Amino acid sequence: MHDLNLVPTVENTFPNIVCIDDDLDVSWAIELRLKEFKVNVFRTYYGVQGFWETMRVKPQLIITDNRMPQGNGDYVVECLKRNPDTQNIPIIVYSGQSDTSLKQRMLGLGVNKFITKPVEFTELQGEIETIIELQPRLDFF
Amino acid sequence: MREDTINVLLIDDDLADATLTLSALKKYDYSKIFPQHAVNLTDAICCLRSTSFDLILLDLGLPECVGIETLSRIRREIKDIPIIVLTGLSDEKTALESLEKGAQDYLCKNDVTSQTLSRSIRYAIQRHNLLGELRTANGLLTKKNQRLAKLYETAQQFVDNVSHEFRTPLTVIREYTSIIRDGLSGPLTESQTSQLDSILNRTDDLSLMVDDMLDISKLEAGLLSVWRRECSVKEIITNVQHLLRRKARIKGIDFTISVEPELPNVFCDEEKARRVLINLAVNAIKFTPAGENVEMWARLGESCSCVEVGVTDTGPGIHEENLNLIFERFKQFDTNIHSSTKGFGLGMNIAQELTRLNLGEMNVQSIVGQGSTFSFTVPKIDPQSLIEQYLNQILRSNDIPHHISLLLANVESNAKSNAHPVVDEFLQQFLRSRDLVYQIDTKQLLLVTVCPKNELKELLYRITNDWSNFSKNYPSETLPDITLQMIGSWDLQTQKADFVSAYYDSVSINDHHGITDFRKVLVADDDPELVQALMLRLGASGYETISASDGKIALEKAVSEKPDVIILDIRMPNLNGLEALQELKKNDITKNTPVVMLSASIRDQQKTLDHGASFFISKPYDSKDVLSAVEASLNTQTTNCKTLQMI
Repeated sequence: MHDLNLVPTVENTFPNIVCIDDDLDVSWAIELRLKEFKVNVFRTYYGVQGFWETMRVKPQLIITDNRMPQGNGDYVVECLKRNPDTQNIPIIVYSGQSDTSLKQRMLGLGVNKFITKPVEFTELQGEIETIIELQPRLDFF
Repeated sequence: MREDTINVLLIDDDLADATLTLSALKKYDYSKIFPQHAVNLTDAICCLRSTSFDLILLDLGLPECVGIETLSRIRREIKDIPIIVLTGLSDEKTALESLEKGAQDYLCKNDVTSQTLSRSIRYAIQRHNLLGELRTANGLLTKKNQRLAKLYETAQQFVDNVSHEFRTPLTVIREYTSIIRDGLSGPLTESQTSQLDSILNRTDDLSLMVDDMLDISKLEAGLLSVWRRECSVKEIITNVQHLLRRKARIKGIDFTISVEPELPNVFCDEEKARRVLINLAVNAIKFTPAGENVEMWARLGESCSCVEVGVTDTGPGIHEENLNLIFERFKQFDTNIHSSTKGFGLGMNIAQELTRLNLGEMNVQSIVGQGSTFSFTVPKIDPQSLIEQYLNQILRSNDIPHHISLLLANVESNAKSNAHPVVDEFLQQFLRSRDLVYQIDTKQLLLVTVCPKNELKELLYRITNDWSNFSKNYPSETLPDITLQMIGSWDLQTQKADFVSAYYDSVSINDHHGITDFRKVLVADDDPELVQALMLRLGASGYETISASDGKIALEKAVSEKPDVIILDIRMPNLNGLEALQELKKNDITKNTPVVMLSASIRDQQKTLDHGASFFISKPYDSKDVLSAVEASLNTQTTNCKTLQMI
C-alpha cells in the first residue's frame, strides 16, 4: 500500500528520528507526516532493532511504542538510558497503554513524554517540536 | 439403622460409673437409644472401626491416657461425630477446654439422670448436624466467592487488554484518514473532506468509549489514581477544543468558548478534568439539534474558592424527575436521537466520579424546551480552598472515615530542584485518591490521609520502603532521600477544628522546628547494617535518628544532640554498651534519658536493668520490638514527668 516515493532520502544535515513500533502503519504515518519537514525518519520494527538503529544513526529523538516483540518499550528505554552513548537522547513513548503505573515507570526511567494513542498529530508534533526544531522542507510539494 | 434410633458409644473405664450411665440411658426407654460400652481407648477404637455410631459419651480419664489428650485421640480416629464429655466433680476446667477442642457438651457424672442425658444427646446430635451443614454451606460460599473474584479479575483484565488493543488500530485509522483529509495525499473535493471528517469524528467517539471503559473498570476496582497538581483551566480548555469544534461543525452546531480573564490556577489532575469536560461537551453536542448553540465556559466560582467549568446548550432540556437519574450508569432517556449516536450511557457517571476525584462537585440545571447547563468545580490552588473542598468531599462520602492524619514529607536538602514533582507523583500514586498531597515548597510536602490510626505506622514504613526501592530503580538521576514525620492524628467527628488549625500551621511552616511530636533517637551499634535497619524502621514511624558506631561516640552524641531515647548495643569497640550506660546515668544531661539495650546474650539482661536501662532486647530481634520499646520508654517518661508536675 505504500508508495515507493515515500522511501526516504537521508540528508546528513537533517536531524534523525528513530521510530520503534511493531505496527508499521503507525510509523509509516509518522514518517508521512514528517515528510514535509527537514528530518530523517528511521523506522524499526521491534525493540532490539530500535536499539541497534539508535547506535547506528545517533538520532536526536526516539519515538517508541511499548508493547512490541523482542524487547518492549520498557526494555529499550532501560538499555538506552543505561548506555552512556545513548542516555541523553530524548525519548517519547507513544503507546496504546494508558496505565498510570506504566507511565510513571517510563517517566521514572527518564523518558521525556508519555503519550497515549491515539492523538491528533498536531499534539505529537507539538511534543516533537519541544525537542527538535521542525523546519519546513522547501522541496516538498 | 433406622432413622430414629441413636447408637451411642460409652467409653468409661470405671465400671460402676458406666453401669449408672447405662442404666440412665436404658430408663429412657422410648428414646430408642442403643448404647454400647468400651472400657478403654483400644477397645473404643475397635468399636468405632466396626460399627457406626451417632454419638460418643467419653470419660476423659482412661487407662491409656488422661484429660484432653483422650479427646484428641478419639478425634484423630473419627472426625465427624458429636462427643459428650463426662467428668468428675472437680474437672470444670478440663470440661470447658474440651468444649473448645470440639466436644459438643459436657456433663458432670453426678448430674447424670435419664432426662439430662437424653436431652444432652439429642441436642448434641442436632448441633453437630447443623454445624456440619453450616460448614458445607460456608465452604460452598467461599468457593463461589473465590470463583467470582477470579471472574471479576478476568473481566477487568479483559477490559484492560481489549481497550489497549483497540487503541493501535484506532490510531492507524485516525492518522491515515487525517493524512488524506489534510490533503497530504492529493487534493480533495468538498464532499470528500466532509465524509472524511465524519470518519474522524466516529473514530474519536470510539476512542472516547475506550477511555470510558477503562475508567469505569478502574473506578470499579478502586484503582484509578490521581495526580493532582497546579494546572491552568485555560490550558485544559485549549486542549479539548479541537476535537469538540470538529464534532460541533459536523453536527451543524454553533460552538463557542468563553473563559473569564485572569482565572486563578487550579489544583487537579489535568487529564481527568479534560475527560470530564469532553464528556459534558460531547453529550451536549449529541443531544442538541443542528442550528442550536453549545457554549463551553469557565468562571470563578461563587465562593471564590474554586473555578467553575461548564457547558451550556440550547437543546431540548431534561425533565426535572430525570435530572437525578442522568448520573446513573447505562441510563439513557428515550430521545428522538438516532440510536447510532448513543454511547454506553457511562459518560455522566464517569464525569461525576472523576470530578469527585478532583475534589470538585457537579451541577446540572435544565429547563425543558430551553436547554441545559452541566458544570463542575475544581478547587483553586491555595491551601485554604483546598482543605475546604477536601473536607467537604470526605464528609459527604458514604463511609466517613474516623481519623484524619497529617504527615510531612521532607525532601533531602541537597536534592536537585527538579526532584520534587517526582516525589509528589510518587506519593500521590502511593496514597489513595481519598488522601491529599500538597506541596508546601520544593522541600516539603504535606500529606493528609484518612488511613485508619492503627495502620499509620505501617503506612509510613511502606512509603519509606517503597521510595527507597523506587529510587534504586531510577537510573537517569539520583533521587533524594525523603523522611516522613508524623504531625498528628485527629478524630474527624470531634476534632475537626483542631485538625484544620494544625493544617494551617503546617502549610505555613518552612522548617523542622515547632513540631511537637518530633522525637530524636540515638542508635549505637558497631554493625552498620543493623544501625541502618533500625534507622529505617524508626524513621518510618516519624522519629529523627542519629547513629553512633561505638560507645564513645554514642556518649558524645548523647550529650551534644540530647536524643529522647538511646539504643545501645552491648558489644561495641572503645566503650562497650554497659560502660556507656553507666556513664550516661552518671551524667546530669543524660541521666533521665531512657536507654534500650540490645545484646545477643540474655545473661546481660539483669546487669543492664540494674544499671538503669529501661528495656533489654535480646538479639536476634524484630525491629518492631525495638520500636515498641522506644515508644514505651517515651510514654513512661511522659508519665513520670506528669507525676512529677502533679507533686
